[in-house]
Amino acid sequence: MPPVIEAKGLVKRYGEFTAVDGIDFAVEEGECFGLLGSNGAGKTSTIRMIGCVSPVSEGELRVAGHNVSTEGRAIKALLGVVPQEDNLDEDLDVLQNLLVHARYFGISSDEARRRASEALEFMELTDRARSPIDELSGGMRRRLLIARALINRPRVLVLDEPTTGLDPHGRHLVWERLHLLKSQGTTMVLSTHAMDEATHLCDRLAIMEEGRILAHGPPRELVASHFGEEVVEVRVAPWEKEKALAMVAGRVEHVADHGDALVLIGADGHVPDLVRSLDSAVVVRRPPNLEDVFLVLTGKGLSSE
Amino acid sequence: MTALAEVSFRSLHVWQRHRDVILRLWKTDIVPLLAEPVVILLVMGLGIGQVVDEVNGQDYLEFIGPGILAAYVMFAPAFENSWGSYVRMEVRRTYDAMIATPLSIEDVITGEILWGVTRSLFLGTLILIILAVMGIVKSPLAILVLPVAVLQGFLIASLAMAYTSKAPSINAFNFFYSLFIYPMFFLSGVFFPVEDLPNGLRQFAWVLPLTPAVHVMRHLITGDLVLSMVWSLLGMAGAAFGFYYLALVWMRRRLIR
Repeated sequence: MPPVIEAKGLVKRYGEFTAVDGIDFAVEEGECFGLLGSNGAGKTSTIRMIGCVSPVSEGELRVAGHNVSTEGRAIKALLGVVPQEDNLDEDLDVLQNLLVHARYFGISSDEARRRASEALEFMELTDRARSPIDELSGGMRRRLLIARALINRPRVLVLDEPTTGLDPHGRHLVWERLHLLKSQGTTMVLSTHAMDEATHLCDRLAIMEEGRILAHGPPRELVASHFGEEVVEVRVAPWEKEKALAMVAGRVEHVADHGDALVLIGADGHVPDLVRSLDSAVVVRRPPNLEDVFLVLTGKGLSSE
Repeated sequence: MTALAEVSFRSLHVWQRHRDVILRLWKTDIVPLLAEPVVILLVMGLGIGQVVDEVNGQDYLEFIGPGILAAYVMFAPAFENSWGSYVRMEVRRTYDAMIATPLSIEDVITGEILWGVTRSLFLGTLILIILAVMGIVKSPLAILVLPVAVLQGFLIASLAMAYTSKAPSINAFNFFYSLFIYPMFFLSGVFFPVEDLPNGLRQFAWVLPLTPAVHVMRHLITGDLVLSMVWSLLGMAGAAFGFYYLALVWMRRRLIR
């Protein structure tokens, strides 16, 4: 089967500034594809080009075989978009938000009511159907944004940072629903800077930085290809940092400086005890994760602005 | 004219969204909406009417009636498509939600303008009924005020929308109201004939969008048809289409980047 989304040499410029600098990727039917990167990496620009709301500067981008530059309406009819910003209609109640949105797709009122009911139930908002939007909590509003994105039974669900700002309970609820959707065969494209989200949800990832894709593949493979079994994470007080770095010099393959922690990659067996001799040191041996991959590839942490 | 090619029947869905909102909120909206023109009509008409005898052979209340009608047909879209549209566009990001669906930005803007026109027509109809009840309407031709209100609504809504597309912040509308909308209330022949303005100002007044509307509506209400009404209507139609096209182009430039 041809990929649902295909990008070749995709570029996006805003005047002099290049936000997306020639990227290639493909999203297969039924998979959850992630764009992982810090703020300003070009994820949102890429998402907006897929959604046909931002013109492509150079390169090719096709969704379900359609060209984004010429077949915008056809593509948008197949997409469900969960935006980063909350753009719910505050002049309407929860149910009306869904019905009005359904109408933009040309869905008849009876069918819209049926689907709205289903969507509300799926996102556990049925008892809030007639609530005004301003009575909803942040988590409920995010769930409503997802319910709204499902109203046209999209072929591809596009989510821009879907759990940013949610509390742990809210995040897990959203992930669980997205997992269910995935098991039903919905293709998803997700942009995020949360490493745990990328690891849990995505089948494949593209790590983006400054408009380029630095690495791509399944999360586990990305981690495995860069690290061994474990890394050593060291936290020391600022006045002992130089000492710690001097101690490990020559005993590690790579030191990634998170700012508040040092992640030592490929450290020899003596390193943890050595560093523990420092007064303020807290040393943890743990399995490597995506954030470590990110730091190694970019020299920056995922949460840097 | 590719901007016009992007407009589709889906604009009506945007209009329907506004209709759904007003059906939800009309109870709080309707009394203040009507109170203002009625109060001004009575206060100025009966108040100033004591001081002023006649204007061009008309009783003062009869003179200002059509002027007030035209003015409020202007105010409705002037507020809706400036402040109202700006909040939807920038603050609530409603436009972003709409264009994520098969709607184009041209559909959204056209739908917004259609709603401004609807508000003009609605308010125009209500005030015309009030004028008729007050005995100010002298001719059956007065019913033609309604299609003129549609044209005027379209002109002002498009003009306001074009301004909104360029507004850097919500404060930009202070200039729109204080330097454009309100001066028209006083210069366009609502409260006194444009002919009474000094030279220079008089010619300028004829360029303002409210002036031809007042002119045409006053003549329709008294039933006195004159040729200059045709030029007024043509001028309004030309300006309306011009501003509509500008609104579409400028909005796309602002929002689709």
